[in-house]
Order: sequence, then structure tokens, then C-alpha cells
Amino acid sequence: MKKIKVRQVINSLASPKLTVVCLFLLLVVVIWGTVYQVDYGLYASQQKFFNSWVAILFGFLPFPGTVLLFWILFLNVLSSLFFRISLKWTNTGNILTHTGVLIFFIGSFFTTYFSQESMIRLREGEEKNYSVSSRNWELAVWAAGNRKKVVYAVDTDRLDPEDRIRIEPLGLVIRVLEYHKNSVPRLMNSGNIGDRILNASGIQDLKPEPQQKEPSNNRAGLIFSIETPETVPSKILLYAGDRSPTRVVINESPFHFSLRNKRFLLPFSLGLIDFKKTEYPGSSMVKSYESRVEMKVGELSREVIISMNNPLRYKNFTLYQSSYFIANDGTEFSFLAVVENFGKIFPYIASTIIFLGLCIHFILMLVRRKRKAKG
Amino acid sequence: MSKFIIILFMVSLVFSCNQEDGVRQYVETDNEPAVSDSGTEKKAEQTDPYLSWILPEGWIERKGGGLRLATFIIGNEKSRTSCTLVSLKGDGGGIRANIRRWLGQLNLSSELAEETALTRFISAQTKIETSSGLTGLFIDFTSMTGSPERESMLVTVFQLSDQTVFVKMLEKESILIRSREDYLKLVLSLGISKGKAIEKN
Repeated sequence: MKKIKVRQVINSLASPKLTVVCLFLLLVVVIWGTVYQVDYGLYASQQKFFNSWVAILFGFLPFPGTVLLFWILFLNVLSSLFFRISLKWTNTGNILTHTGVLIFFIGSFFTTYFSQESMIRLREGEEKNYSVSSRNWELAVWAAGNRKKVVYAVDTDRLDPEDRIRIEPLGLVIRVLEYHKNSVPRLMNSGNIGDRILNASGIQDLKPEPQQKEPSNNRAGLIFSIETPETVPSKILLYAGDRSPTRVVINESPFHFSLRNKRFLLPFSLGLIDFKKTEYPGSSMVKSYESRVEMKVGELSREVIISMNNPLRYKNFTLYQSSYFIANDGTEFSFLAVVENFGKIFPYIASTIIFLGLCIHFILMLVRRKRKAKG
Repeated sequence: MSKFIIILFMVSLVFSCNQEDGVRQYVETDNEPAVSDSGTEKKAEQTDPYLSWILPEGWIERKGGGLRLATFIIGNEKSRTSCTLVSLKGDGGGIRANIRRWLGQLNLSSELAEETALTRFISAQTKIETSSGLTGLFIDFTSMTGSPERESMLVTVFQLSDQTVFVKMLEKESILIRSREDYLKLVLSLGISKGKAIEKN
């Protein structure tokens, strides 16, 4: 009885009908998501339709999200390959094509779960070896005064009051008192007047705010104390809008604390040599813009031009020319979007295998037909 | 059945992958270009790239710090007369709370103690619109101090979509009255820079 049930499940999973239904639903989701992003923005659309298991439509109607559909399709193709297609040489094309599609799925899982999107903002003449997330924050600590800036950073996404963060190399234990994913700073202290709050911007209190629809508009806030053998009594307040780190002297050693956009260390450094913008003749409409950058990898360096539709690719990293800014005095800033995609290679492998599989399949079909015609 | 177990194993492999937690360590390279001390080049240090302004004649712009976007020195480099441009996220604490705080700074806490008096004071202030269309409230405390030698304040508050910008000048009343025209020139020149985030499609 149990065996029959497992077989029924497998047969249903491997059914081509399921493939067709899923592809149709995927078509609906893609169209709906594309239309939705016009009014609600790219991020909201991605979250609702493309990064979700179930999308709630009209506030009450559950509809399968892309994640769910991809998983069903993945299991569908996997089950077909293992249970529906028999291992015969005449099925070589079919097996290869299904394998190629599976590799596509595996690549998309890698991209979904492991790819990172961040941004580098470079001023002409500036060089950086990190990119910055626009949505996630980190608590960064480093010893002040050292020429080599060794930063210890903790992601703040899952911080809760009373959490303790141990930074062993610096001998610091941080006790979280308050953490708000979005907050507004106050220059007055609404709490005990006796509390001493350290903050580089003079902020004395934080007012929690509901999170914004667009996460990059959130400004996180953190209040913590330091536990050391000689406990520092002060509370330290960090606000994501602080424009300089807060300096705290602990046991006669100065440290800098900052709540800032999460940094991703890059395996290379990038310096902006020149930014060039071209406008349509007789108008201020931008035709194209490009950044001439110096890329340093270890001892080696080379000049590269990154322009619209001409990204820089290095290992798993792709850097796109995203936007720019020109300050009052003409100083030019270039914004480069950085995508680290561990699944970058999968589509190439998958496409090649699918192409081979289809070629073999059609050749075998042709041979079979010719044989039938002769016979 | 063994094939079914292989499928389950492959699926669980993908699900079991997780990103690591804890303290990360990295060495940061952040070589910013050198900026000379001359007044004009200091403008390159403007920290908020989205706000722009035109400097009144004879004013010198200094790099901001903290939430301060810029400090403007009036007169020569040694002058102690200054005006500050500050940006705070959200409503910046609210207009009423801020006015009460400023009154405290000017030792005028007893004035406008009643909520109705404060409402009347706010409604009597000047609503201004800058050349680029930003609307703000210009609050002039000089009428309240009553002595040219007493400290007073000019503040303009701009409530933008996600931040509040304060242009604040705290000085002797006589200096404020003398500088008011230039102060308003600066305020009226405030705008969102045209270079703001042009996204590639």
C-alpha cells in the first residue's frame, strides 16, 4: 500500500502535465511581477513575486511564488530523469537535455541563495577594496591610530537586546541594549538625564520607526555598552546616518565604532581614474557614461573601462556602471553595481549540454524515421 | 526507492547550505584623494551628495562632520560667525520639540510655554520656497530676544521625503540682522542636485 503511494507521488511529480501547469503559472507570475514593479518598485516586486514561496494577491488570494514553482519544476525534471526516462542509448538526447535543465536550476539556486549585490561609490582619485550593501548594516570596530585598518565587523540583521558580541582580538565584549532596524535620531534624551550617551554626531536618543518598503531607506540605530575588566559605564549610540565613527577610549586604547552599510571585501582594489559623461547634442540628456578605473590584483594592475552594457568581469564578480553624481564643484563620483554570483558558470555549462542533448535527440529521431521509412 | 533517497539527499544538500555567522575581520583600503585647505576645494568634501547650494559672497564653506553637512564661515577664515547645515533622518524630532529646545538654548524657555502660543508662533513664521522648489519654514527668533547683544537664532527647516534639513545660525541678534539677507540667499539657493542617482535602465 505504502509502495503504491510513493509510486503515485513520483508519477505525479514526473508528469509532463505538471511541467506545463508550472510553466504557465510561471508565465503569469513573471508578467504580474513585471507590471507590479512599475508602481511598487523593483525591490518590492522581487520580494513579492520572485523571492517568495507564495505571493498573496489582492490581499487574500494565495498564488504560487517563483521559489515554489522553481522547486516543483526542479523536482519534476529530476523525477522525470530518474523515473520516467529509461536508461537506453536511444534516450541519450533526452537524458542530456534534462541534465542540462537541472544544471540550470542548480545554477539558479546558487544565484538565489549565495549571490550578493552591492555597490562601490568612487570619487575620482579614490581607491577601494570593498563594496557596500545598501540594505544590510554592520557594527564595525577598529583600533584607532593604526596605519593598517583592521576592521572587526558583525552583521546586525539578527541583533537582539541583551545579545553579547565578543571581539576576542580586541578584548571587547559588547552588550546590545537596543537595536532598531529603522530609527530617527533625537538630539535630546527622553530617558534618564543622568545617562551618558557617546555619539559622534551628538545624538542622545533613538526613536524606533516602522521599516520602510524600500530597505535602503531604513536607518538602523544601535545602543550598546562595553563590558571589559574595567567596565566603561557609558552607553554608546551608533546611528546609521552618522557621518563619522564614534571614538571610545577603553583601558587607555582608543577604538572607533561605526554602524554602517555592510562591507564586502573584494579580492581586488579599484581606483577611479576618470569618469566621462556624454550628452545628446543640444540637450542635457545623458547619452552614455563610463568609468576608467585601475584594477589592482596583488602586485598587478591594469586599466579598464566600465561603461553602460560593458561590465567588468573578474572571477565571480561582475561590475556594472550603475549611476553617477557630479557635486557642486564638479567633482565626479561613479557608482558601480557589484554582483558576486557563484552560479555564473552554470548557465554556460547548462546551455552547452542542452544544445548537445537536443542535437543528439533530433539526429536520433531523424535516423529512426528514415529507418521506419525504409522498413 | 534508492533513486528517491538520492533525490531527497540532493534537495537537502541545497537546503542545508547556510551563510556563516559571527565576527568578520578584514583590512580596509580606503585611499581618498588629498584635498587641499583652500576654501573652494573643501567643497569637494561635501558629505551629502544630493543637496546643493550657492555660497553667498564672502562666505566660506567648511567640511561638515557628524550630521552636519557643512559649516559656513561668514567673513574671513578667523571669523567666529558661522551658519550650519544639518540633515537628520525622518522629521528630525519634530518642529515643536525643536523650537522648544532652541528656546531653551536662547534662555527663552518661559516664552511660548503654552501650546496655543507655540502654535501661534509657528503659524506666524515665513513659509519659503527655494529656487528649485523646496519648501521650508523660516523661523526668526530675533524678534523675541529684544537686545542686539543677546544671542538669537535664524533657522530654516526643510522637511524632505526622508530627511529634515536645518539651516541654523546662532549669533548675536545684531549680527543676525546684518547677515539675514545673505543667510536667506543661501537658504533660497538650496536644492536637490541635478546629478542625483541617474539609474541605468
